[in-house]
Amino acid sequence: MVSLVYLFNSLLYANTIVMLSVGLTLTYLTTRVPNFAHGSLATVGAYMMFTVAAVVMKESLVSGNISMPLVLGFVLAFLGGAFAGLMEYLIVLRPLKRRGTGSLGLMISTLGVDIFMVGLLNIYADILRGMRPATGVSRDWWLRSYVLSKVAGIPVGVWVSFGVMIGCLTLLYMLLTRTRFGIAMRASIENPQLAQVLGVNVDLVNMASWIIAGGLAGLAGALMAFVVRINPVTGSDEVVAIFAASIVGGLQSLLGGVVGGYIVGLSSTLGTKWLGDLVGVDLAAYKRAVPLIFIIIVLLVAPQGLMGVDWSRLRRRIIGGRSVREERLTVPHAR
Amino acid sequence: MGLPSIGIFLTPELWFWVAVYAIVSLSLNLEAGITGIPNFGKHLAVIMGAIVGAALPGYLGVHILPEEAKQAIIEAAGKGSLPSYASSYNSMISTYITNYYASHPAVSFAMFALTIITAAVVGAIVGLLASYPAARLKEDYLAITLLAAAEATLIISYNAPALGGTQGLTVPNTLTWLDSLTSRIVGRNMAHQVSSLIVAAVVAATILWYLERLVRSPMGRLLKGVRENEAAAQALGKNTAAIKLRTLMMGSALASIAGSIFIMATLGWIATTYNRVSWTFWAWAMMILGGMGNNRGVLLGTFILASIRQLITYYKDAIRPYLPFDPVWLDQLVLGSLLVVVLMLRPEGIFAEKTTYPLPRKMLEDKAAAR
Repeated sequence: MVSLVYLFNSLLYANTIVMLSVGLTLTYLTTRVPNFAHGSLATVGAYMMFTVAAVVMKESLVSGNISMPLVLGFVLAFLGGAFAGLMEYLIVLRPLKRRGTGSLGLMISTLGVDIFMVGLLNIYADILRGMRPATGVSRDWWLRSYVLSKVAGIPVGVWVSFGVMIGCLTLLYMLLTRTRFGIAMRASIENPQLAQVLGVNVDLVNMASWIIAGGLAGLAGALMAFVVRINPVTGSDEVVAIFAASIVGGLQSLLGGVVGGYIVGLSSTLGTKWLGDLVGVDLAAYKRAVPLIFIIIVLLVAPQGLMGVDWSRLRRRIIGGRSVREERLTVPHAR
Repeated sequence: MGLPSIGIFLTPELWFWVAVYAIVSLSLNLEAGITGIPNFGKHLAVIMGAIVGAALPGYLGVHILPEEAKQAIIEAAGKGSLPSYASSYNSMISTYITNYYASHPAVSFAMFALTIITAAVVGAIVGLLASYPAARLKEDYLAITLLAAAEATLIISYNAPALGGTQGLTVPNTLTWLDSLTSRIVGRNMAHQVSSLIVAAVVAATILWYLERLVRSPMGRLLKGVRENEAAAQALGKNTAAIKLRTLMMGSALASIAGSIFIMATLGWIATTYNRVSWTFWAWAMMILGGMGNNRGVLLGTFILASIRQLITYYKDAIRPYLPFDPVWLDQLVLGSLLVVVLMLRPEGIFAEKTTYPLPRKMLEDKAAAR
């Protein structure tokens, strides 16, 4: 059986993957770039959190009262991730897009950005180590031991993680459905040319999407420090899991990113644990291979992702009846 | 810096890196540059080749050892039976096998040839499997799929007990037949480096010769046709799926050979060596810098980047005072910024792809004039 601690850890991990996968999907929808540096944006957030909690306000980490540094850390993590995301768009992707670089070239450039950011983060980690952080190290650190105190029987870290995740996704939902700018964003996702003709500043929309995606990634990185040991390559290693989540969700809708995030996040933690218990072998070492296998299966079986599968048609195949989508298609011809 | 940096170009190590990376980047150029299949799982084939190079000479080598050597291993292990090659007695077993190979050059050569051939076959199978998504997915999805497949293989092989798990393996030396020749010329210390360089250089030169002939042949023009307009190639009756399959099989077999040669030179297996940055992204950077689709350009790109990497590794301590950070991170900064800068300033690479004529241009002009 899975212990309660393991379940909490899996949920924490899945929450971060959800936030990352929503951001990745958002930038893919607006700029059509599969951003391989998305994981490193999260690492930027994680190191922002580390800077506040372990370096600048290290007394509170020692005394154990860390609500203040956590709040400040999350704010800085959002800003750091958003800044890095915006810079990636402004310095690298926008000029390349204006040059007419194809999707392959854009993808390679994000790989370059990722490697470059890992280099910078490594340098930054060296600097932080020189500043004697409260954890003693600036690599392989985490904040897990500081968020274990329980409120209503559940560790603080889990409350914070769900709070941040649900809060962010609600705000994003409100932005996209309740504000003029959000509706303009959705319009330019649907049809950039038409949106531009109607006076939507598509470039501004793109910048906003990179700020939002970067900020979400930064927050996710800070949350990830509750459950994963962070070093400068952590995000870069997680990027395949993020892609897996987005691809399972279909890279078409943000909701797909949420669903895919939970499927991939939970199956790579809880799934491998259950499977390992079932066959009597410890499969924990292979858990990072699970998202990759997801990618391969989904892309080969249902390249549009879960959200692209015509579920009612699938149901009709199994239990009979007509699919909504097929009815829509067939009615005009029937007349 | 300055003058001493020339010394590095006289070391066999640098040229070995150039030769091995030339095999990988030229094979990538065949797939991505000439045929237009964005293979971001290049390290998959390299890993599989390295696994063959790590497993075959050891597992097979244990069985062909003479009885007295087997007895000696059993006694040293004290278990009553022959321990597995990947057990904790791995380095001792490897030493026995290497000694056996050293005294039997013919066996050593046979094992070398068998390893290379097996690596090529395994690589071709990898290419066969990779062609399944390649025929179905568009470029960014295909790239993600191949990258994911390679990463999954890396994680599995890093934890496989048969490959020594996270401890890795010490691999017996199958190049002893060549080492005994080179040690007479360059001395014992350099012998293995020089002989691995010779093997890698011969393979790289053969591949360059082959690819240069290929792009001038009707087949080469067909490959470029598939890249430029797949629908048009299909309309002309070409089976583009079969062409992609053959290209991927060829490219993966070559990369796999590079992986097995790398193992033969380093004599140690640890899966993390074959990560995506080292064997896929660097190879892409070399190809893009040199010029996609242009073999000689790719070779130049390989030389430039392999040299930069080696210079950084060699002169870490010399440049440390001039940098505000640890020079080990320079590798990442250089690779990352280079990919972006080349795409911005010169996306076609140093040598842009040129029209390739079936014969030298002069000869074609003479023929036209004679008509």
